Amino acid sequence: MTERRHGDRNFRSAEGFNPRISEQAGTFLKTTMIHQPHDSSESRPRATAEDPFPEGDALWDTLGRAVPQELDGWFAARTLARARRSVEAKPGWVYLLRRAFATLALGGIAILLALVWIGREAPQPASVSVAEASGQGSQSAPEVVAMENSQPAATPFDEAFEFLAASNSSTTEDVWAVY
Amino acid sequence: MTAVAGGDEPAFATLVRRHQHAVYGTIVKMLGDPIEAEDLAQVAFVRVYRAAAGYRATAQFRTWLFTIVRNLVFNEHRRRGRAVLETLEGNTHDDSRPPREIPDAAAKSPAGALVEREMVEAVEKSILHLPEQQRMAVVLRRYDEFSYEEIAEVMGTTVPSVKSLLFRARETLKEALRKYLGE
Repeated sequence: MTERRHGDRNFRSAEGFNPRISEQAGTFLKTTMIHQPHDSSESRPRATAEDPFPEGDALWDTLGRAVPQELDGWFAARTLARARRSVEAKPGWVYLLRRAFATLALGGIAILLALVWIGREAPQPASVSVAEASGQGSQSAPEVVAMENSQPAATPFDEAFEFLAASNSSTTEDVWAVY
Repeated sequence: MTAVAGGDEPAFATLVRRHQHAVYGTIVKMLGDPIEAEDLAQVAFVRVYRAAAGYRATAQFRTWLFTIVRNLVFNEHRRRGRAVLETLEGNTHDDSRPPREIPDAAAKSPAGALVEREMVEAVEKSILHLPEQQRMAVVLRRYDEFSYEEIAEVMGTTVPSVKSLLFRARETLKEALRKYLGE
């Protein structure tokens, strides 16, 4: 008696409709009371609080125009291979331990290189004591001369040591005063 | 999943083939980057593979899978600091262009194809402009055809909250796609 139209999502079945009414009355109901949409907007479902994103409304159809993204046929094989590798891979802590050792080793090498470089750049006379330089006690003048000979050129410090050695003065203050 | 848990690799491959397009499509729409999406889709399935032994069928597999997808996508999104969204600023809310009607999908003319492409781009950009929670809800609802209950489960929230997210997303999308809706 009533045919359901394709796409008529708001169609309401004739609940309460008495199928035993006369054919004439049925025809009347069909043409006047049963919802028969005339345009697409009328036939679309509308968003409600219960169904804020209904299937088949205008927004639904428009969003459906987005091009579907698909993968190639080898995706599953690639994923399976990756899954296998992930299971066979070493546990994370082994990796972290190896990384820690590598970092420590590299850090140690860097510190050693830095120390060697600093050692090469440091001034040589700083380690010579005043007592040794002045020749007091067990030290003698020839040692000072030997030290002088080891230097490529005489510096004010050397001259101060030489002067103080000659004058038998031994204190640090004396050395600095002459320098 | 029982077979996968037992180390059945062909079963895992079948599982991947069955869900790969949905997972990949969801991630692409969430991130807007097909290459990154393929990698993340693989990561999602690898997680399924590794967790198969401990999987308990307390929920639908699809819901469980998309929960993994959601976590991955949100983490990735945070990592990228919404860089994708920033690059897409500008075109979606451009009101200078005249309103267009929704073109016939079967249109063959170059002009029709151009309009169609414009609309598709507008749809994708307007989705990418949504906040991530709203976007996830819309993508799951529209493209994966999840029910509100399933979306709530995937997103770890309640059904009213999902409906609220979708309602707000709908308002934003309607505004952004006004010229294509024909309302």
